[in-house]
Amino acid sequence: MKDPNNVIIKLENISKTFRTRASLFKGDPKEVIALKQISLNIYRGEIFGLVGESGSGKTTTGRLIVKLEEPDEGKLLFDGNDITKIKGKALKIFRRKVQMIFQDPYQSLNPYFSVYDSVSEPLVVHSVGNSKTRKDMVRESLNSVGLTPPDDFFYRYPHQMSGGQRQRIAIARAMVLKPEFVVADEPTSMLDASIAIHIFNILSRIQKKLNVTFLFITHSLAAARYLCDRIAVIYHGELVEIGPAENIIQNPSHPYTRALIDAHPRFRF
Amino acid sequence: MALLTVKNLSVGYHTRKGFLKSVQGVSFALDQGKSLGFVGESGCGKTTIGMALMGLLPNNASVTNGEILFEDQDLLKMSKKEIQQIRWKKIAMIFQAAMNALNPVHRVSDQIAEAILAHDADISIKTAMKQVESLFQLVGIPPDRMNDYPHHYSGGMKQRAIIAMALACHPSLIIADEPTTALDVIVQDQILSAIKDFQNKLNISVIFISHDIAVVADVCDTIGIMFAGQLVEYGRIEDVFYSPMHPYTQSLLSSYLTLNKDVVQLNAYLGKTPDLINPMTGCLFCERCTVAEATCSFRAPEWVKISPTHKALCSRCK
Amino acid sequence: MTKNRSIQISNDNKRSPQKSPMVDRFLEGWSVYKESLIGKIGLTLLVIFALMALCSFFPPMIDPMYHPMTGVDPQISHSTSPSWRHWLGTDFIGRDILCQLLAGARIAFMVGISAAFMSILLGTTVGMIAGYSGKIVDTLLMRLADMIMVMPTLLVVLILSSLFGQLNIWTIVLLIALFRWPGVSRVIRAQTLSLKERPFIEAAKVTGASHFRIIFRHIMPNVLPLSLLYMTFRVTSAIIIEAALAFLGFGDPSTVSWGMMLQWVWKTGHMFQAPYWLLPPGICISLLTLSFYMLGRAMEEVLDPRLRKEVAQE
Repeated sequence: MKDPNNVIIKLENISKTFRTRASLFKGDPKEVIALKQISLNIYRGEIFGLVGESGSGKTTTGRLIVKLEEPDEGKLLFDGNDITKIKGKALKIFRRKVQMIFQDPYQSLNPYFSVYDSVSEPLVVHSVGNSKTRKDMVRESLNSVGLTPPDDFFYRYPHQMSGGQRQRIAIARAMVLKPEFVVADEPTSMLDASIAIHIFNILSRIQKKLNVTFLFITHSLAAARYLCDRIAVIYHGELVEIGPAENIIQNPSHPYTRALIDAHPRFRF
Repeated sequence: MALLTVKNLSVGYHTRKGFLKSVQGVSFALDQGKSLGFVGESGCGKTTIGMALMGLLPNNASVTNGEILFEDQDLLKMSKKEIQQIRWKKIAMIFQAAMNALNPVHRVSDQIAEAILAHDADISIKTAMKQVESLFQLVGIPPDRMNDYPHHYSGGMKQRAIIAMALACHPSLIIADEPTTALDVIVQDQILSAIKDFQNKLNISVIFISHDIAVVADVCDTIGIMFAGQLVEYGRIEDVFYSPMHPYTQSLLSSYLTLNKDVVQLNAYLGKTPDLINPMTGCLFCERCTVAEATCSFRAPEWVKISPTHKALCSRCK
Repeated sequence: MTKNRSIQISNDNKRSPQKSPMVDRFLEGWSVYKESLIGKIGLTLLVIFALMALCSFFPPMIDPMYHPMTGVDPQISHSTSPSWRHWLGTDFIGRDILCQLLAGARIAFMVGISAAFMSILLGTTVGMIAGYSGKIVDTLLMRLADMIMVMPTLLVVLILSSLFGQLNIWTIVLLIALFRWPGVSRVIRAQTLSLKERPFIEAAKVTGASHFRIIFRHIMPNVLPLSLLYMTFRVTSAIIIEAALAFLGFGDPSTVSWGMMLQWVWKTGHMFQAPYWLLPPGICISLLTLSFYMLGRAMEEVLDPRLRKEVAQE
């Protein structure tokens, strides 16, 4: 349920360029323009899809929002406040409210941390709760991603679990502090197609229960259609189309969107 | 006469925890010029089948049963030398993430030419390069990119180069293991068209392995659904897709996201991983199955012939 | 509405808490280690030496004449060859050589392991901080490491001890540690550099973890195996340095180490007359350092990426 008066994340003319260094194999330093003057509003409570191919800038957008990267130009606003250059304490407060689910479940969990260690990490970092209440919060989080009974998973380690389970742990970790905004960066691209839909259902349920806002980054229009309220299509660092998911897919206006739709494997049956 | 006939193939791996039965009793046949797809989740054994066909199983793997009849010769009974004669010349493979297998310090054209020369010592380098040129044309890489290095290529182009390498020695069978994973939708579409294209032009048989059922539907004539090392449903694409009989096939089809249809209700849940070291008696899908009966847990299912071109391994479908 | 069976996962093993990856990896590593011949030989030798070190406490308890420093045999006051009374003979003032050898084993382990441990502690910390911080901090720390690395440890310690007189064994240990940390810091830094970019470290950043927490809670467990590996190599060099110092007369005169024994053989002119006195300490130094080296080599095999574990499937 999006609230048009309540913009939670706003990107204003954001640009980002990456410079590669000169090297023996790659010749002169090159500049890659990842994002060109992107402007975007994301409303509280919606699941917003950002669809594009590799190199389109979609992942960079997500990383900028969670402040793993800094924009070269432009402003980033969270709940009306300019967070483009925040540091220190303000940054830590921000981090409590904005989280990320990474693409590779095989690499986004510390192999030496048990499930409990990983999921409780945000609680420890922000000094939330004591050892008893933390256990309860971790339990609640694990339940919400379908890893039940949660206590059985507390002391397991990532290498003992499958990709889908690991990704669910990553989701539990992102949600344990009940953030307001979560970036999900291609959460199912490293998982089997048959598992993907289960993950989407989990995200959808969590969204309804906690009224979290999601930015769902994907290369699959079909996934975006299933999960998202609104979609933006990004191509070579620019937003080419933006609007309600079903509209974009039924009536694409930009040729690139049309190309994406045509290229999708069709289920002829 | 079929190009490839596999009868009752069983392969396992010796691990520290025991003998893992990766493939159990798989049988299928493939004619020249036709394509067959294997679909299943990670660990179902589909990649192992591909490796067994190529004779590239790792040291801790053993074939415990079965025959692989390629052009009427049993590949499993051949010596290493004989298999080397067949590998790449008659059967070629496109591995998972193969595009990372290109050597970064050699030009792409050189690498493909090397593959040609390695298998045919009589050709001159000039002839080999000419072949490389025609291969590039076939897979759709512009001729002015031939002499570039791999890092100048995009992901899609690298994958095409890999396909060209597989085609280099004019094999009769190509095994493609997840050739489009890690590629974008548009590039994936192009690669799949390229595969269909050369399959028609050169009358090559293709075995396509993927976890994504829609990709297989696009390319293949026949499809085999795998679960826990077993083939659970097998038949022509139309048969399997219009009337999926095995509950696992049904769940796969219903969980796939499309642009046009809505997802039908999910009827299988993420059960526990089937134990391949000590598989349970009875049907291996039983725990996850929504229509399982009491007998399914101790009586192993048998093949049910639904039509001359469609069969399913399930006691419940009659 | 049916309960969300679609996302329930049935609990597959009602086992008690899983083994931590440290234990798990250790056991897996052990089974690979066992297959290495070098590893087995090295480990056997080490066990023998360890037993020797432990046994060094017993002889003085049996009879005070067996004390390595002060145990002088009342009946013998010069160097004698092996006999029933003294299994390896006696040194120039009638002390039992075997006891000295056992005591030397104890000292060798002590020096070796402490010096190695301290240099690894220092090296790992510096390496992690340098690798994680990058830029100026990295450059400064690594240039410091370079400067220290090129200094000849033995020479510097010799100079220091000639300036300050006889050094205490623990001072020697400290000095060895202070000069030997750069080697391990380079390796740990490289490892940290690659870990830094891994998603789980970025996830920790996004969670809000401080740099300190990321380095010591997230990165450290991942570099420890490498640190431990390097520790075995450090032990080798520590033992040899101590032996060399003692041999040259700069060791701690109140401790009996193998190097010290060699010094006595040499200084008292018994080099060619008393092989029963000359050979044992020399052989022990060689064998102990060799066994640590073999341990390290076999561990390298274990730590190889081929031990990347495989996972249950969904």
